[in-house]
Order: sequence, then structure tokens, then C-alpha cells
Amino acid sequence: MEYKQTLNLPSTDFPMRARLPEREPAAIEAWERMDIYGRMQEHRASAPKFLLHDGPPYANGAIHIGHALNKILKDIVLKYKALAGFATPYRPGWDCHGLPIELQV
Amino acid sequence: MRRKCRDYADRFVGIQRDEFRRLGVFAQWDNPYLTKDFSFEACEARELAAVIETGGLYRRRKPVHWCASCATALAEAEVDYDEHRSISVYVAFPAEGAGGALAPYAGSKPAVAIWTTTPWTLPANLAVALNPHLDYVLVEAGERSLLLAAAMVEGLRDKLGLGRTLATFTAAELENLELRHPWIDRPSRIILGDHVTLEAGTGCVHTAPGHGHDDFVVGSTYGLEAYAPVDARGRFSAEVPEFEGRFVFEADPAVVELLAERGVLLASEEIEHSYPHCWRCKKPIIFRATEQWFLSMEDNNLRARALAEIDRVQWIPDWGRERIYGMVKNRPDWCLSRQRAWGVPIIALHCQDCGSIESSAELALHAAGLFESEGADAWFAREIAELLPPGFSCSSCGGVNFERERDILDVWFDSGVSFSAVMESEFGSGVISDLYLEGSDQHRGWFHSALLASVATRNRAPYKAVLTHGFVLDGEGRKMSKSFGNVISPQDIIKRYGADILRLWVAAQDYREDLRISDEIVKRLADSYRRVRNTSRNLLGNLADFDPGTDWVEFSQLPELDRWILGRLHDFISRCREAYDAYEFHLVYHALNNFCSVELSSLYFDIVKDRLYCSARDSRERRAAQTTMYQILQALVRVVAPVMSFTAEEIWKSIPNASADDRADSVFLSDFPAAEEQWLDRDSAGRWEGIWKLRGEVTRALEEKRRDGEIGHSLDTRVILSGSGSEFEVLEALGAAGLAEVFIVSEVELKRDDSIRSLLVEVVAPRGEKCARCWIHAKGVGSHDDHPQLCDRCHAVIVAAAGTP
Repeated sequence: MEYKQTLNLPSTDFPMRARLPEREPAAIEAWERMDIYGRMQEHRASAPKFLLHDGPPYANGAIHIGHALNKILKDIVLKYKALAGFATPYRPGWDCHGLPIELQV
Repeated sequence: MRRKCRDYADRFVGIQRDEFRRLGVFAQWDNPYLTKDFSFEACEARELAAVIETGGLYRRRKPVHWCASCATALAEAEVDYDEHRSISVYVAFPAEGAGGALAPYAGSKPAVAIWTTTPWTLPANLAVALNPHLDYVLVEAGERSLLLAAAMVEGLRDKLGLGRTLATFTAAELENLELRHPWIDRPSRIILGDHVTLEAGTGCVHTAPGHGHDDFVVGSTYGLEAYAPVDARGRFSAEVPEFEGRFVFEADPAVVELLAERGVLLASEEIEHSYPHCWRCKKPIIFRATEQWFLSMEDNNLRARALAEIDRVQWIPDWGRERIYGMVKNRPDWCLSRQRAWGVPIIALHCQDCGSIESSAELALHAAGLFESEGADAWFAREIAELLPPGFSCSSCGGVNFERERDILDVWFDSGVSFSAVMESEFGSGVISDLYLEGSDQHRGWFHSALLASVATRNRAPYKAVLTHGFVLDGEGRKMSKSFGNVISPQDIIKRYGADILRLWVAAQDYREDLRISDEIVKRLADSYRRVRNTSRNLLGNLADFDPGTDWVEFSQLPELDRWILGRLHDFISRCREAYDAYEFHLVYHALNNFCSVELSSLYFDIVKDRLYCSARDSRERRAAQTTMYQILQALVRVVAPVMSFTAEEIWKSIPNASADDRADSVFLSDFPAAEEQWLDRDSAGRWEGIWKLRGEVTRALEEKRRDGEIGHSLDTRVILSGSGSEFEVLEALGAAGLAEVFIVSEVELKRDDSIRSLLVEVVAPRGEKCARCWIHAKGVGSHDDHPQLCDRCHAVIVAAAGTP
């Protein structure tokens, strides 16, 4: 008898290899399909609010690592506050006036 | 033009929005606010009306930071200080005809010695400033004598060829004496100002009120004009025929040459110094007096009120308070106007009949109404008559012929009033944001302009707390630059590693300082990511057949080991909650790493494996381990969700048989884990500390045996512990079987021996044969006819399993 077959070995579909670059876009789609942002607000509709006001980055060029740092920090704060029981409405903004755009145009 | 600007902005809003979404950031992406939205522009016009209402807005000819290359005024926040090479000169201002206190020394050909690093501003000189609290001396210098601060004489003796001191004066004795401009046929005069210091120069400061803030302030108390004979492109006007049309910085050497020709150049040298540059074009800027609109810092006590509000705000890190306090305390009035096209106009009209300028809340509110439906473009597109409220006329002459003001508002006023256009619009007029979170350059940018705009019209700060982060540098701590080739883009990291690795990097940094990133740093983070992932996978895998509804084991029934790890889980959750509350995410990262790699992977998982794999599927001890692991997994996935959002959601959706409470559609619809009070058992925690220390010793002893080739697996041993006292009682409490489990050995024997003070560890050969199923050397192996290779425990498991279909 093969005793190894009688052990309760772990079993899961959760893969060892993350393959994040391939999998993450599908996760974003799933979040958008379920309207995760809207569902979170609904879920905490009667909870006290935690209001983070987004500082508008300048609407010029692709994002750099500093933009990523800033938006991820904000997202960490808000997701934590949401889990901790707050309503966390968050409206992102962009700064659209000014010289850099005028000069580009 | 304005149409094209709108389209251009739209294009990049779209690009950046997609990039932010790719980071896993949740937001109202389909409803962002844009400062060019009609509703925003209208709100900004109403905020301007509110500012006008306070009486703090004024228009005056004043020196402002001016970029000659961009041909516009710049805000404080748009100025960067950088090293710049200038010619500095010592110049004699003839004082032979000054009279007054200098009259007795007219024969010594007296002159006032000044020092400047901007020779090109000398054509605009109108005065020489002395410090009212200093003593000044007249000193022989070759064929003439020079006046300078007494304290500066020794340092300049060689440079200026100074000889005998002829006389000493207080500054007050010299006030208002008339000097001659060094080459232009025009007087200059001695004035007094507290801004004069002894840091450099002669203690006598060349004063051109049209080209410097301090000069302007002190000049206006003496009624001096803000004279600046330089055009928008930084070229001398016809008022300075000797340099007409020349760019000011290029005129510097010619000025020096002219000074030398006139015999008034005392010395010159090149210096490197910190000098303001345009943040856009990086070129050195000038101070230039022009007609501009200002928000007064003194009217209505705006400065004092803003300073008081700063102290009501929580600044994270706390040095942010010092920084913004110092800036607000010392800043000049806010120059709100820009000579550009793409923005929200300063709503004012020029009367064509009497030349006066009309700016009123009524006018601004009327414009706001137009902006609401057409945007600020209406100001430039509409007929002038349509910009006038009904019955509007010049308040000075009653005239009705107007021309529109063409200056636009500083973009920092745009973003500064977002608290109104965005937050108050949505949440009501009394709302104050809980948090503003930006880079540490915003103390002089957005935090600053928002504070002033809000205090001016609401008398309160628009935020309760302000958090700032540093800047991202490369692995060696250098600024990233395209030319240096050390730029690391978020897009690259996402493509190679994924957004969760970037998010983990953000959490791992102490963002209060500047942050570093490099391939190596990201690789290290990918390693700790894998540890968390494997930990989670291990938990998920062992829960495959666990149903919390039917298999749950109450806490009081759990084995000591499980209660210990739940105690650690309590600590982990509490630490993380505190760290999140204090915005110290790097502490979450460290707690996570420790918990996964030490407590879980190298202790709990290793030990509990036998129970999970070998015990009967439905046995109490196996269900106990699963109950424990279920709680660990539920806590872990929620603690990491704000950081590793993608992975947390993936784990969440892989949890088998989650209980009804834990079955939300997304981990983000769940609650942060509660650290259960019953998990805390300080006595037990103390006991376990002793056990872990002993386990370390046992492991070392096993290692030695393994190295010597005496044993293979740790299960091929029996450990004998001999000792006495309270230390030994702890071991007895857990029992020999419990210790064997913890040490992962086949048997532990406890020998109480009062003659032994400190514990003795012996590793010897096991008794009994090795079980083919669990590898433990145990009694019973060989005694079961149906399964001679199995120990009693495994035999019972197999027989029971065979009995159930």
C-alpha cells in the first residue's frame, strides 16, 4: 500500500507562481465589472466619512514613479480606512490650466 | 488656442487615468474633477469674488519673480534655487556733495562702497540702504575715502585697499544724504532698512526698488518708485540707452567695463551662488516690477490667521509644520496674476473714460454665471457689454466704456480653491477634508495656496491633516534624469513584476525621507512578495476540506501551540492596525515579513504539518490546526489588502468554504480583522518564549549530529532533557509528547534531576521502528499484522478510513 496516498496533503487552485503582469489586468476588469468602488461606497453608506482630497497632478505626459508613489499611498490609506469601517469617497483630479500646456499647444 | 489646450489636457487625463487604474487604485475614474471643467472655473470665479469681498485683492506695480524666457510672472512655488555663476562687483557711489555728516570730509573725496551680485540692476539704482542699528566708518582708500560698516573693514582691507579710519557715524546721521549714481546723471540717496545684514558685502546695500522685494519694501517707505527699465523679454529699454536692447545677464560684463572706465569699480570677482531659476525652462530668472494683482498678506490679518490655522493642523511628518510656518511667515503678498492665455481670467475691467480699474464681487459673480455654461472662455469670447452686470458703470466716473483685463489667475489659485469646487460642492459648505497627501514640495505649492485661499474666505484651513512624502531617487541616492539614464518608470516595473510589487515597494519605504528604487531593491521586494504568497498558499491548501460551520474547534479546546500562534496573530493585527492608523506603512511591511517568515513558516507550519497531514482527516487535533489557520488566513488577507490589493483579492476568491460572515464578493467589502481578546494569554506567551529558546538549542544539537552523519531526518532522534527548577516545570507543563511535536523529533524524555542547574540536552537514537507513513519512530510499528509498517496512530487512521466508504 502506498501510504503517501493516505496523507491529507494540501490542495488549492491558488497558484504558486503569481504571474502578476498577466493576471492583474483581468483583476481590474473584474473589479470594474462589479463596480468595486461603487460597491464599497454603498457598503459604508451610513458609516462616518474619511475624506481624502486628491491633489491634482498636471495633465501633461505619462506618469512617472513619483506619481505612482503618490497615488498608491493615497490608495493604501483609503483602502485601509474602508476596511476599518469608514466611507471613503475619492474623486481624483487633474490640473489642466497653465503654461506647460499652453507652450505644448 | 484655448480649445486646443482643452483637447490637449483631455488627452493626457485619459492617458494618466488608465495608468493610475493599472496600479490598482480605486477611485471615481469616470467622474474626475478637472480644473478646466466649466463648473470648476465658475466656482473659481466665485472664490475670486469672495476674495475681492474681503478687500484683500489689490493691483500695483511691484517687483515679482519674472521669467524672461517664458515672459511671465512666476509664483513662489514656480521658482527653484540652483547654483549660478555671477560677476560680483564692489562699486563706489560718489558722495562729495552729500553734505551733512560727511561735509567735513568732502576733501577726502568720500564715496559709499556697495557690493552686488547683479551688476545689471545698477542702472535701476535709486538708493543705498544702511542698517539703522550699525556703525559706519569713513576709511581712506587711495585717492578717495570709502564709507562702509565698521564691522566689515578688516575683512575688506586688502581687497579695497583700505587705510586709516577718518570718522565714525551712526547710520541715523547718514540717512537721506544725497549720493551720485556711479555713471548716470541722477541722484541716489542713503536710506535705512533692517534687511541690511553683515553676511556679505560692505553693509551698504545697492537698492533698486524695481528689481528686488526687500528693495521695493524699503523703497516704498521712502517714496521711491519701482523703477525697472527692462522689458518682458529681459532686455533693457530705451531708458538705458547705453545698454538698450541687450539681455540683462549678457549686459553684466559691459556694466563692469563701464564702471571701470568711470573709475568707480573697486573690485570684481566671479562667484557661485544659489540663485532663483524658472521651474519650467530652468533658466535664471529676474525680479522685475510690473503691474500685477496681489492678495495682501496683511489686510484682514491674513498672515496671522493663516499661521494660527497651521497650528490646528496635524502635519505628518511633524517637520512639515515648521516648513510651511516659515514660508507663510516670510512670504510676500501673493501675486495672483499671470500674463498668459490658458487659464481663468482675473475678472476686472479697465474704464476707457477715466483709466481706473473696476474689480468687484458683483462683476466676478456675473462672470461666474457665464462660466457655468460656457467656461472661462466666455471672458475672452463674449462682447464686453455681455460681461457687465445690468446697470454696471465705472465707480469713479460713471462711464460705461470698458476694456477687459487680460491677465489670468495663477494656476495655484486654481488648485488652491479645489477644496471649494470639489469638496464643498459635494459634501456641503462646512466640510473640511481629513487629509491632503502630496510630495513635500507642496508645502510651498498646493498646501500653501489652499491654506491661504481657504483662510482668506473661510477663516479656516481646508484640511485636518497633511501628509507629505519624499522624492524617488535611484539606488545610489541620485536624482533620476533622462540624460543620466537612471530613470525607473512605473510602467517598466508593472510590465516585469506587476503592480503589486510596486505597491509593496511603496509600503516598504519610510516615505518621510527621499525614497530609493533600483532593480536590486525591486528584486528583494519580489522575494518578500513570494514569501507572503507562499504563506497564503500554504494556508489555502490546508483548508481545502475545512468547513468553519461544522469543523470549528473552540479556542478553549485548541492545543497550546495553536493558542500561541493566535496570540502572535493578535500582536500582528494590533501592530498593523496601529501602523496603518499612524500612516507608517513600512511597519506593516516589517510586521508582515516577520509574521510570515518567522512565526508562520519556520515555526508554526513546520510543527503543525504532522497533525495536518498524518492525523485523521476529521480528528479534533487536525480540525484545531485548520481552525487556527482559517483565522490566520482571514486576518492576513485583510491586513495585506490595502497594499497587495491584487494578490489579496486573488487569495480572497480562493478561500474554500468561507463562513457566511467572510463571504463578501471582495476582500474590500470585508472588515479589518479584529484581534480577539481571548487570544491574549501573557503567561502562555512567556512560557513559549522559553520553549522557542530551547528549540533553538535542540535544533543546533540536531544540526551537529546531522553534520557528523549520525542522523538524517530530525525524526530519527530521541531528545533527553535533564534539569530542574521553574524552567523545567515549563517543559513538564507542555509534556514530553508536546515537546516532541515542537522539536519535530520522535520522542522527548524529561528527566528531573535536582543536581542539574542549567538544562542538559542530549540527542540519542530513537526507540522503536520508523513508521512508513508519518516517519516517526514510535511504539507499535511492527505490531499490526495488517499494516506492519505503521505506528499505532497511523494504523488507527488507516483502519478508520478504510471503514468509511
